[in-house]
Amino acid sequence: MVKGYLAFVLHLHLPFVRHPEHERFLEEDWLFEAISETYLPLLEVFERLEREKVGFRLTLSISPTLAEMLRDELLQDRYMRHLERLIELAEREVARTRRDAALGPLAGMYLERFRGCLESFNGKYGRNLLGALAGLQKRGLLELITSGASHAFLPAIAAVPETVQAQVGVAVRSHIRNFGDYPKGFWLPECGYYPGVEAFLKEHDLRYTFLEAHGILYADRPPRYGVYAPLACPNHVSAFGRDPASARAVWSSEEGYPGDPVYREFYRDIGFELPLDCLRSFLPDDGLRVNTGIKYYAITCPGADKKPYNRKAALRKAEEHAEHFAHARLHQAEQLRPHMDRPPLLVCPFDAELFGHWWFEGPEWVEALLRRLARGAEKLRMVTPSEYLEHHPEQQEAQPCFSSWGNKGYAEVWLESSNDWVYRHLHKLSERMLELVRRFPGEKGIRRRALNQAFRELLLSQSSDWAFIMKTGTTVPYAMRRTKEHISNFNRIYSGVMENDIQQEWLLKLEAKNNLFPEIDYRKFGRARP
Amino acid sequence: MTRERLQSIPLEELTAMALSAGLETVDSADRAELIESLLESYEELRQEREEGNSPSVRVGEKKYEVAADEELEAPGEDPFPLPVRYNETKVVLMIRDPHWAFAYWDIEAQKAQRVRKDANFEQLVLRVHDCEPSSSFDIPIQWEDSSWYIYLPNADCEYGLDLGYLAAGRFKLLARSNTIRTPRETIVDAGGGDEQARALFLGVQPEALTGVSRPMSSEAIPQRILSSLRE
Repeated sequence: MVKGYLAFVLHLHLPFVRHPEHERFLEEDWLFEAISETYLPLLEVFERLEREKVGFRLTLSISPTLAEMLRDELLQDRYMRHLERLIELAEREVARTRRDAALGPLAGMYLERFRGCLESFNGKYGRNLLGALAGLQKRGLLELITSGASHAFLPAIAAVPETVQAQVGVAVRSHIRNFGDYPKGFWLPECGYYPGVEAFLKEHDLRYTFLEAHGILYADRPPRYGVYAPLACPNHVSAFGRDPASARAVWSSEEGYPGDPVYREFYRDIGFELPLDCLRSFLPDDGLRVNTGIKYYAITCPGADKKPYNRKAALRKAEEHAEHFAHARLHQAEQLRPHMDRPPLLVCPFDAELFGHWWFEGPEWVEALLRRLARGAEKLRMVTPSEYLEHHPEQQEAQPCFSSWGNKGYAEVWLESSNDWVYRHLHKLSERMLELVRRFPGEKGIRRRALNQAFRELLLSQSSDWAFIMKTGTTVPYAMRRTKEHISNFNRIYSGVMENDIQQEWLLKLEAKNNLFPEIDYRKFGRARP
Repeated sequence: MTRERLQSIPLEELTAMALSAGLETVDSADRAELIESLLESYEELRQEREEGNSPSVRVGEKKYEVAADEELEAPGEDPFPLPVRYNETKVVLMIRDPHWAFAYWDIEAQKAQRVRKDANFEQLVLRVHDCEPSSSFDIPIQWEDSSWYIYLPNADCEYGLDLGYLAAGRFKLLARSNTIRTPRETIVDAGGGDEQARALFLGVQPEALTGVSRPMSSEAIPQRILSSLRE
């Protein structure tokens, strides 16, 4: 007898960062680190489970900006170069630590990992990670869904509804091109929900989305089953609520798994610790210290000197934590089941980059969890939201509440003194885009290209990442620059089109640089369906 | 900020940095000591900043971390200067949470000039309309202001904003904002039913709301409310 369902959801996202105008660009490392530490390890996990016939069902949301970067040849080439530099560095580390019984084997582990990344990225996958994901979807293991085209925090741009509509429409078209199939669901960036946003999901037959728990709990009617069954919005798009207990098991600063002392310490990177001479071959030309991903120490109990990382002990712990998580979820389902007319659903959404990048053992935890859940599937069954909706087509109707999964649960992370200045411009750009479409409904040639590029710049300026970075304080100058750059690019095109004075050479360069969404069509801005 | 970076900075500048970081030992410290104290204080700042964020925000942040010198804005001209304003008369209201909204506005130069010349002009104000029950209050603003955080007494309530000014005791409208509905901050609970089930389903604490205190009473909010200037 099935006691409950578990929907495990991973959201993969990075903002569009691509700088062909520079030989090497630091922020492109965000993507490279995520590929090495998160995307490739997770793909390996999925494929290993598939080979061993371990059944699993997972929902993956892949943001359009990330998908566009993963298919970009320049970034693929640069990732290869990044790996080559890392391999060279790891080889030097193996030599440097060869007499060190503790660090030597760890250096060897990193060397092997980087070589493995190179081999699977370039060899096995032929640089085509999107194809690998699409294959897993075809074979019924993953359900791939989309998110905002440039990952805008939708409540903050809702002042011009057409721009929210564009975030959804462009995303769906990009998803179809990248994965060869319609997405069935939509990840609201940062779980940023406001009443009514579901109208734009409905336009594209997106059947469901995810909300932070209070988005469901504070609906206009009390949700009969809390977050353990989805709500149907008035237009019948389904809203799934995040299970707080699952979230806390991973996130809590006290008892959350990733803080365990045996796990690898994120902050002790050799890029910041070794003399510059040991790092020369890897660091950018100006000798700026950067993360390398080579980290030799375990988190260790507070107060004590950091101990060298013990891989075996860490993997054992990941298994224990997976066992604990699965056990706790089953217990939860058993508690809930007698009070419901159907098995409860536990929705566990996570940022994918948590696994591997921040929590080094995260992919192994996911693997152990999926194996454990497969063994206990008769009691707790993994489902995707669309499977759940097929089994249980009737949902309670209610209007969910404005919410997000950011600090304090509403819009504060993206709307505070560090970043509130952007919205005056973002809203203005959207109004100008509408004006452009109305005045120039059928342009051709260079004018059409200019208007299409304006649409891209508009979307790029809206990424939630820029506001997030301004708030949290890492790489603020870059986030400021990117925001201003896209706003100013848009405004330059706007004046160019209005005054019939398009700077062609500049425009072509811009097109080649911010080259995402090749199928974009400015005439669709402000229109419901294509 | 890395040690090497600090080592490359002249003593004079280091001293200034130490002063602005609030370090006390500045006078007696030698260069090496100064650098160590600065490094320590930057690390403390980083930790402080992290503690203010929820665990998920803290981890999310790690996606964007590559180097350690990035907090420093490269000197030089801003390559992408933005217009300060778009010379239009409008006001926009945005939801931040159940009790706070953000408003930004602009007044066309010509219109602003006309208002300033109005002999009866007393004060620029934002008039906040609370729709249920219908009531309003004014927030005086200055010509140089262009945005403001506004405390809204009621969650789950519609609000709108009028940008205008008081002249001879009367309110003159310049622009009207969009209306917003503040989010709920509690469950709409009709009560009744099985106590245990209610606790199971409705008693859970959302992760994002961890550590969020109950909203303050409106009296505690420093907002310049000019009820005396009401029409």
